[in-house]
Amino acid sequence: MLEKGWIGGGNTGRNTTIVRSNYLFDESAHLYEKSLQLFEQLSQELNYNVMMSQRGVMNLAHNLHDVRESKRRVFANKLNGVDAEWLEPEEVKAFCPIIDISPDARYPVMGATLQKRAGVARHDAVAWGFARGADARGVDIIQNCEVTGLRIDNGRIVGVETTKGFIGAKKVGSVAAGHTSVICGMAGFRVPLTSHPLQALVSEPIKPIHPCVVMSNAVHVYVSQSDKGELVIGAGIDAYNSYAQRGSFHIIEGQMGALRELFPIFSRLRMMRSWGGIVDTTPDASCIMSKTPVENFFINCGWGTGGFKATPGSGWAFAYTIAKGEPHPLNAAFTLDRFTTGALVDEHGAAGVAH
Amino acid sequence: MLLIDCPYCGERPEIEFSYGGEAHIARPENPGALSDKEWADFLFMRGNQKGAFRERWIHTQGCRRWFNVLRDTTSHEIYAVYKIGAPKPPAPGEKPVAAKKPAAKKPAALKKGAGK
Amino acid sequence: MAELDTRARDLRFSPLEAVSHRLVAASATDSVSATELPFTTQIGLRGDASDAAFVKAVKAAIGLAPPSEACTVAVKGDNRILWLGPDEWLVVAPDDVEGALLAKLEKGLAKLGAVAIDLTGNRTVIELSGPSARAVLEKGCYHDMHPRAFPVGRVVGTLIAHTQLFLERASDNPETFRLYVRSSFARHMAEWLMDAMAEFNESN
Repeated sequence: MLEKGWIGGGNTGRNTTIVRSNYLFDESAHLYEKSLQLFEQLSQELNYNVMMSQRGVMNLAHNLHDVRESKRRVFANKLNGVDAEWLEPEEVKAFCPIIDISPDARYPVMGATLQKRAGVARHDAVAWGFARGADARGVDIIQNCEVTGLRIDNGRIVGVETTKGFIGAKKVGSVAAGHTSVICGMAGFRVPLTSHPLQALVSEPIKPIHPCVVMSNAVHVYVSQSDKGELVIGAGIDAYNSYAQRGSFHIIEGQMGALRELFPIFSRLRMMRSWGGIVDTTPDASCIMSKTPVENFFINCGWGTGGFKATPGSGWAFAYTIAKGEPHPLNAAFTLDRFTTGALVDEHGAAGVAH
Repeated sequence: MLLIDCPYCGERPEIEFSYGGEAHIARPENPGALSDKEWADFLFMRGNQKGAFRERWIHTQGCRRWFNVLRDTTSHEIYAVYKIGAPKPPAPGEKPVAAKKPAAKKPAALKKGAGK
Repeated sequence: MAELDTRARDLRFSPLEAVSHRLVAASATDSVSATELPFTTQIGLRGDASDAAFVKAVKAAIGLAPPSEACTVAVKGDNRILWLGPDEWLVVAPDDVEGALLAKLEKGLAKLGAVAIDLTGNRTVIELSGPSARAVLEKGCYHDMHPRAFPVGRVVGTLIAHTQLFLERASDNPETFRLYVRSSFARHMAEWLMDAMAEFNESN
């Protein structure tokens, strides 16, 4: 396992730690639900406390269209065995008392979907738990080792060039998130990805006040409170392409406006740190876990703004794909081919972030 | 926040602009004649360059005109701004397309507005 | 016809009519005052400024040539032409002349690749005036409004308080700005302005 920087130094250490599986379409729901089930036993499995906290995720609806789409998603989730329920505004308030549900708000809360099994997990604990688990099972983890080229012989991969020299391999899997286009460029093919900054920030720590995770597409913010007491806040991507791990300030301004709209109680809260990661977005807001035009070279990418929640499930299905040379039924829909056949899995609604 | 030098209005803050993604992607003359793969290539596949990148912006809140920007996606530095249809200014280290167009020089017809 | 026009004029109301008394109350002549200039005639122009026939036709109708320099305003008497884009202008004239002006323009432009369209009512105009006018606007606008960068006779399309507008510096004595705001955003802009002006009005 080759890592350009250090384990957990990229998007894994930069996300807002939300774990849920309430996606609309069957293909996504199955994959994310598998991931959530693995998350539920991850601490035991790895013997490492990933601080999984199933405190519930609410996705708010602020207009009639939101209400219809949200209810549709609740029904779709239930049909797929994913726990989901619809909450009326008073029930939203009961679940998260600090939310402003007054009907004269600019974007009044008209209800919410709730997935009770969803929640947060400590992002860097997940990274280190996996690293320790992999190491114990015999995986060599080489950090500070950047891939600089792919060695391809007759359309088949035979190894990778790195800053530490050539490493031969019968099969290679790329899980390079925002840099996937760069890696695939080395292999000589293009992918339907654009890399964007996604910013997040945390507030000063305060006593426990926010009991769950709240996400809103309409005012556009998502927020939870970490065990340290900081509010962990995220929103949408910066519009432009970037590999710079930072974005523009007006995105944060919008995010703060949205936070204040939903939670007037936070209007005097100070923000402590902000940062950005590079997310690889696809045209249909679904991932790509696929074979490629290069034999024995596989890619796992396109998770855009929501890859953290998929970590165990994505790893599980990708391991199968690499081992068998064919996708598992769980990721069979998420091939590179779908952009040619047109069988897109449009999860823009459930992905919950505009891009 | 980026400061973008609109070729019509001059330097303005990013919030006045909207992004149009990769530039110079020509719509196929005859889409019906394309294979599915060629169509997917046009519609979805992108260079997503790390480094110098040619992209489109529109001055939505100002003069409402599209134009091209040559920007570095690792540093956000803007190397050049040029009008739609104008010759491509070369990226740093890139050979000029036409020898008379040195790097970072903008089209001669460029008119500066407020702030200049 | 004339009678109907008169009745229509009596019935119409401007976007900020309902808050006009509050704009007065929020204003202080020695610092900053805001007032709506309602019902101005506004005509959108599209054409090629390098085409002499186009310039001539516009001049004949309005008495002004469309300014070819970016972000500038041409003014003559009560008529002005705002540069909006490289082939786009906004003619602003007093109330009630849009029919006559438009007819003249349409006639003049008929054989050219140009167009004039009545946009009266699309935007209303807020005039902000006084020594503190710039300080008020700077609270919500990224554009550099220092006279060095934005002298009299300039107009820019920009954002104030998240709202698109064309902002013109109309005069330096006293410092006066004209805000051309879409009608449906005018109330928001007025509310924001009154809030931003409050600290400069000591009688509040």
